[in-house]
Amino acid sequence: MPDPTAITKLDDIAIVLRSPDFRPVDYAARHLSLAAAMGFDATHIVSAINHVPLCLHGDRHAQARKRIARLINEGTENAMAVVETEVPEMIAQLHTPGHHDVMKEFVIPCVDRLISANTGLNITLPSDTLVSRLFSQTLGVAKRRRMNAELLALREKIAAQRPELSHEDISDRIVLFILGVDALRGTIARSMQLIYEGGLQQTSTEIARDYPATAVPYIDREATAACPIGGITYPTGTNFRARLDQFEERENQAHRNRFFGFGAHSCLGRKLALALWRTVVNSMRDHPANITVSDFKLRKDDVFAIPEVFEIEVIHD
Amino acid sequence: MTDFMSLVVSALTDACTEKTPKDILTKLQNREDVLLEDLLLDSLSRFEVMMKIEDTLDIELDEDDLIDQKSVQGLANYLASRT
Repeated sequence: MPDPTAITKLDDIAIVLRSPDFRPVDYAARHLSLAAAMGFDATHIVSAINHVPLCLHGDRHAQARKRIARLINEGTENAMAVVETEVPEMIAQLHTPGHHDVMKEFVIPCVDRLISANTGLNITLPSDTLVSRLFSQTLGVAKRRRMNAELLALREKIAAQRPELSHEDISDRIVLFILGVDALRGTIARSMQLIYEGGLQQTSTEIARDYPATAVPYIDREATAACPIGGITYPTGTNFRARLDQFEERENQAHRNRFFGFGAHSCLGRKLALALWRTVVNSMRDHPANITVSDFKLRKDDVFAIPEVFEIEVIHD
Repeated sequence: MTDFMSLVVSALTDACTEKTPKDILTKLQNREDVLLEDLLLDSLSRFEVMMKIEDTLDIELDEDDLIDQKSVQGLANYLASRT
């Protein structure tokens, strides 16, 4: 399969992400094709994909997006309570003197708590969970098998905690874990890293206006009709890669909010994510310290920009 | 003790197709250190290689792990470092 055509201009990205003439990559077909060739079960992967709005097109997308939006809204109050009460305490603990593993001590438990609160469930995913990675094209067969098993286990846990939920209701909650885990973990972690390395000299408003970094560097789309992009007409079937990570550049600060996408596929968790970020920034400033990033390494990942290692040294003057 | 070179040669040999040049296949079967790109494996073949290695060593691999290695010996060394 040829590499997707990279789209970097704001106007072109808006067209590719907004227009109904561009559809999401058919992740389910890719998993099914490999599963058939290699002889493994991808049932739960495909079922999950078929409920993720980002993976759907047309009416199916509209219906799924409506269900997920409703679910997020229902849990927003609980999630906001976690943001307001638990996050400041977690940051205070993270900024105590000594060596800290930011992912294990803050990012992973914080995102787990938020998703649990939002879904009304008490579920902790393994730190190396694969449930968010069903968009990856490069995972080997062993990881795909584990992903399928993890998605089944997640379904069983949700069913055990909320036996009244229908199959579809459980699927929608699985979607929140899929969309929340790596995207939110990576975005918070990468943004914190930039702030630790750049200092907290900017005002809270400047820092918190939007995320300094994103865990979702790009979104892929396929043209369902011949389309003019940047003065070139591309044929039906052309794959495009809308580069969102370019908005991390300083000259694109005015467009930072474009991390959250455009139009019908824009991020449904934006409100909660920004509330979380503002609280993280304010809590970091409320607990000042001399902080050095002692180790930072991104995970090998073809979809998300998320740290595998993120450690800091905290010294109090 | 695992013979990583034998495992890699076996997995790669099984995955080679008619696209693989015969002289390169012969060198591979003779355990010579050929470049992986010279085997002309397609994506599906790479997944076959990965699956055989994963199942034998009980590890998890990504396609990048295979792509990042330049040669048969390099892949064997990489696997040895992973186990």
